[in-house]
Amino acid sequence: MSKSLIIIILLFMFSVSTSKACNDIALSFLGKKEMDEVYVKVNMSKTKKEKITVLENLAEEYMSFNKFDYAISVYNEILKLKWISKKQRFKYYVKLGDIYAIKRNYVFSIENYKKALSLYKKDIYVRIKIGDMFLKSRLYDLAENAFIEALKIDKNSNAVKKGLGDVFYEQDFYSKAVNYYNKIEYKDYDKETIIKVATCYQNLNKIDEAINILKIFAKPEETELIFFMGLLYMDKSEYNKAKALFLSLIENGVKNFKLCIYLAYIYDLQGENEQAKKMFDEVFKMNPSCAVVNYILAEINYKMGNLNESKKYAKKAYSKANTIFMKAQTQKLIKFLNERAS
Amino acid sequence: MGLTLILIRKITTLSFICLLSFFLVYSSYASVFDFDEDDFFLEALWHRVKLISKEKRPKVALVLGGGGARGISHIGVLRVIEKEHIPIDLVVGTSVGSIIGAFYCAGLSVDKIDELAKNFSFKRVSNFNSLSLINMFLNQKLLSNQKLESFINDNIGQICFNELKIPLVCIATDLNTGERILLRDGNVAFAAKASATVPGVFKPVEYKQRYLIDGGLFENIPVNVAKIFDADVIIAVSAAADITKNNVDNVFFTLVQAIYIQGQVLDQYNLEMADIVIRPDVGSLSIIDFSKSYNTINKGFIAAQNSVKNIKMVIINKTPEKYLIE
Repeated sequence: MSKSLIIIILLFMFSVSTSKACNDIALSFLGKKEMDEVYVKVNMSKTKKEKITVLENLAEEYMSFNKFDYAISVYNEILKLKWISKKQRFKYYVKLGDIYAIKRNYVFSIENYKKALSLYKKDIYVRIKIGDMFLKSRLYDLAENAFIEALKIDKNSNAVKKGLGDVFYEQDFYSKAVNYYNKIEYKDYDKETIIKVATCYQNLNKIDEAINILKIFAKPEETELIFFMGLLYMDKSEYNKAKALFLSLIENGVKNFKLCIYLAYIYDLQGENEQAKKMFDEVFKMNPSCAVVNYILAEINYKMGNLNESKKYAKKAYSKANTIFMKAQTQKLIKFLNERAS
Repeated sequence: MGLTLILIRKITTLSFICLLSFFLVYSSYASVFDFDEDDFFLEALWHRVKLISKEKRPKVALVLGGGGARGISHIGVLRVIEKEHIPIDLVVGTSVGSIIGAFYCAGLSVDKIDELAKNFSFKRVSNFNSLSLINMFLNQKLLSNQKLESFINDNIGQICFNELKIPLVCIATDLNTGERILLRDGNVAFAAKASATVPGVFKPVEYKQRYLIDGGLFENIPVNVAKIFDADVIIAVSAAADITKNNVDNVFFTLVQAIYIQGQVLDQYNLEMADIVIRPDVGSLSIIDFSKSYNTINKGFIAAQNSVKNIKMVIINKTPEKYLIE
């Protein structure tokens, strides 16, 4: 008899907790039909774990349909449940932080990450996320502090070193940025980091170092890195090396406007007028409304003695020019060509 | 059915993670393949300017203003000038601008000047210490900055103005007559020292029966002087104080503020004559705070980076077309 009574009491408690769980969840943003469906699923859940799973799945489903605000509401409702564990609470605060990050609402993102951090103060990943959010908000001092705090927890964390590098990179403080990037092991470099390190060196006028870092990582399929290397060789006026790299990209099927125009430009710089003209004609076909292409074709035609063609391209360049500077320069060119004609 | 649901759940979770990763790892660097027509046009024309001989292109003057520790930012500016191959035909300096100008015009690399600035201390360039300060206040015995002259000589050699790689003019003030004195012959280190002799702190420098003090008293940003020397393009670097942040809660600082206000009016007039004004964000830095040189230099670098396009455009605009194309 006593055993049966205990079971009845337990069942009663269970049913109370089930309805309480339903009462706790105010999913009022849902339509009535949807709400009923959710409540049915929650009611059918036998354990708290199952209830959470139902609600988590609902949130994830909203995420998959980019209904971020609905997902946020579901997680917020879950967080109101007093019986969820600290670990779960941490997880949901982080999820909320991540969703707000997607929505680019960095203030709320940071707020939720901080709530997560208050539960597990030594969590380095949340600190890194906070640093990233401050960085995206351009609050560089706060970002730096967040990353420094993360570094105290794990001084070997490459993500933190990268974060600190980014903080200084965004402020054009290239010497400090590269100091942090250089602390990351090469095997943990991603493409973004490689390009940023090379950019730092380029801005510090250390072109050789920039080229060296790209050489380490530039496999044939890394077209961006190879192109960047070519641009750096151009900075050093080593046009043959730049040309070789650009031609290798074209041979590998890369057909990019900037690549073609720079290759054409190298021919022009080296005085290979015929080749330059041919290449610029190709570039012209890719984008006939590009003023600078018309301008350079005007110059090349002038150098080749084709004054009329030159004037034609110069006038086109003027009509396509979209800045005061470009208009002024093309006007100067037209005036110069007219003087030559007379 | 159960398996299908599990699969759907996993796919949606994965999609969420991918979406999140995309946004969180959102790169702040532009793709190297992104083409900027204006940048390319500017670089194409700039390349031509670099190839033109000195006689055919515009004459470019760099004016380095005074400002004590704030003037360390000039080094960041020089770094950008060097990186972008901006030709400098004349440097005009006041006070710290003269010192840095002397180093630059003598041919010291920017890295070397940077290193000197980062290792700078008052003890290296003067007899500045607590005892001499007490002596100064009690016995009205001004400090000596003879060590500054030695410091400059040690780094560039005991050279004269005609041995410099780039012409330099140092601005000083005659203490007795208030005249502006242009120093452009004789020993370079001596001239730079005279230009940086702070009145009331260091002994005036005796020169041809005159007593010279800091050129900033007359002209802190000597754009006028660059005009006298027929510069076609004048790039002025202003390391002026932000006077709104100055302390004015005692007699001494109020007098100092009064001097700053007067100087600011003259500076503004001068700056209007410059083609390009570079203003490193150093206004809140103290004139004697050399401890933050790393950041100060970088502020000069950032300010100059932001002005590079304008500098190039101005020089290109003043270059005759025939030299660009032929």
